[in-house]
Amino acid sequence: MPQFGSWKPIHDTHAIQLAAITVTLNEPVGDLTFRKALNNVNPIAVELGLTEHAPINPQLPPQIQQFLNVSSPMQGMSYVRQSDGRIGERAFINRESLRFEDFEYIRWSPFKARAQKLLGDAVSEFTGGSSVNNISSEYTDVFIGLVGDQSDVSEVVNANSPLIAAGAFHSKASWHCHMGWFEPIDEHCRRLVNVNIDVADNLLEEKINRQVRIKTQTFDQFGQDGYAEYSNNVSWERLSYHLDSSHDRLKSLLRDILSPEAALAISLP
Amino acid sequence: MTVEFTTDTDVSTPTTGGVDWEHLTSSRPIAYQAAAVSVALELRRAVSACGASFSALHILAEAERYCSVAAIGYMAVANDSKPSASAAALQRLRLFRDWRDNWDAEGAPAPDLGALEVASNLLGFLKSYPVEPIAMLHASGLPMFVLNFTGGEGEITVSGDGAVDFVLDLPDGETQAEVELEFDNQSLPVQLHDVLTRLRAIAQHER
Repeated sequence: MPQFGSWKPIHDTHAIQLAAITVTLNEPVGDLTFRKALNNVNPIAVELGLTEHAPINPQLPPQIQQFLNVSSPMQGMSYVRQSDGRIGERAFINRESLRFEDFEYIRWSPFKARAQKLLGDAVSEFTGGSSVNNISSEYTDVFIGLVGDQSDVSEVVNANSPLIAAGAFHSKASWHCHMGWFEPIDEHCRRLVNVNIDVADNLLEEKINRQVRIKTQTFDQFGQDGYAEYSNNVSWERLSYHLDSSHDRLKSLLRDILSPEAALAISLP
Repeated sequence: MTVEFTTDTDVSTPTTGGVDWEHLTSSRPIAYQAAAVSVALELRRAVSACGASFSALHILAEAERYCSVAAIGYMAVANDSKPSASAAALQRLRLFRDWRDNWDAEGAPAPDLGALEVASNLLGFLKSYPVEPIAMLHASGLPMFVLNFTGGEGEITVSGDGAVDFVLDLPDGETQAEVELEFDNQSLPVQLHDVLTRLRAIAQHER
């Protein structure tokens, strides 16, 4: 077990609690396109082991419903693969977004391949009726303290990292830091980068369970704020390039946040 | 499962309460927004029951992040108590990378690093089938998975050039085997996918 100091990553080989890809459209698609996409996705989801299918149809209390614009009885479909009673993988196909989540991340290559298999056809179907606003990649890394409220956060994150607000950092108390900025990618695309760091003391059986949660996320945005639109709809091949680029960027962000010991514990080069 | 939280109405009077996480998971899958609102309502009810007050807007603004953090905390603790079979297998593959020649004291060569990479990628596809992969090392230095599953067992071996051999003894008594299957890291070889899909169908039928 790759313990370092008074911490350990959530898994023995890495700290990734969740990896996810989301494709967001500029406008919701119509019924026909939506149903056609679902007809394509349903058997693929079964083939990949995501066998629990359920419509997304939020039932909200009336005092909340009045403030929310839920205009259609079916907003989307969810697909779940359970693993020993927990969610292993999950996907959402909504009228204006598609999302794939992996709670059992192993490697980038199979994760991206499974996302492509599940979402690729649906993306092609959706961009016939709309266009892609952005594609997002995200990782949530979790480290668990082993000595309760004495677990020193400076063993996990680099207190001098440019991605941590100096005024927020504390070695033995809860804090939260959020950063976001834009990076140019090419003439069509800019990248919004988000870094969220939560240090939380969860209570478990009356004991403090200190955890560091690092969420790194990119949104590659197309044709906005002066960036030229693509002449053709964005294809999965184009999105695939952005996914690989985002993957490398997210790794570099995490490297800039973690202490050398934490990075070594999760084999982050 | 109860998620506990503490809120301070002022610095001198901390208040504790709880959110019944089962209420949320019992209606899985649930839209993220709806989940955040449910947590917000539970939080407000719990806080009120404790005799404290809390701004509804503050709850709604924080609920999404709380829901996410609480979910991560719950799942982190759950994962901590029981690592998945694929995670355990991945750890063994990582350990094999450091083994040297004669690791078995009988002259076995050091593990093939390229084959270990292929095996790690293969693991990412195996996790969606009802098999428990146990990573092992063949005397040739090539990685292999022993597959445990209800009513049968099997093996998958990765060769140095990235090809895959498998043999599976299925619950219905049939044995399926193939050798030198090409694996492109994008999906399982068709023959392996087909037999594992058949195994999944058998497992679901028996449930």
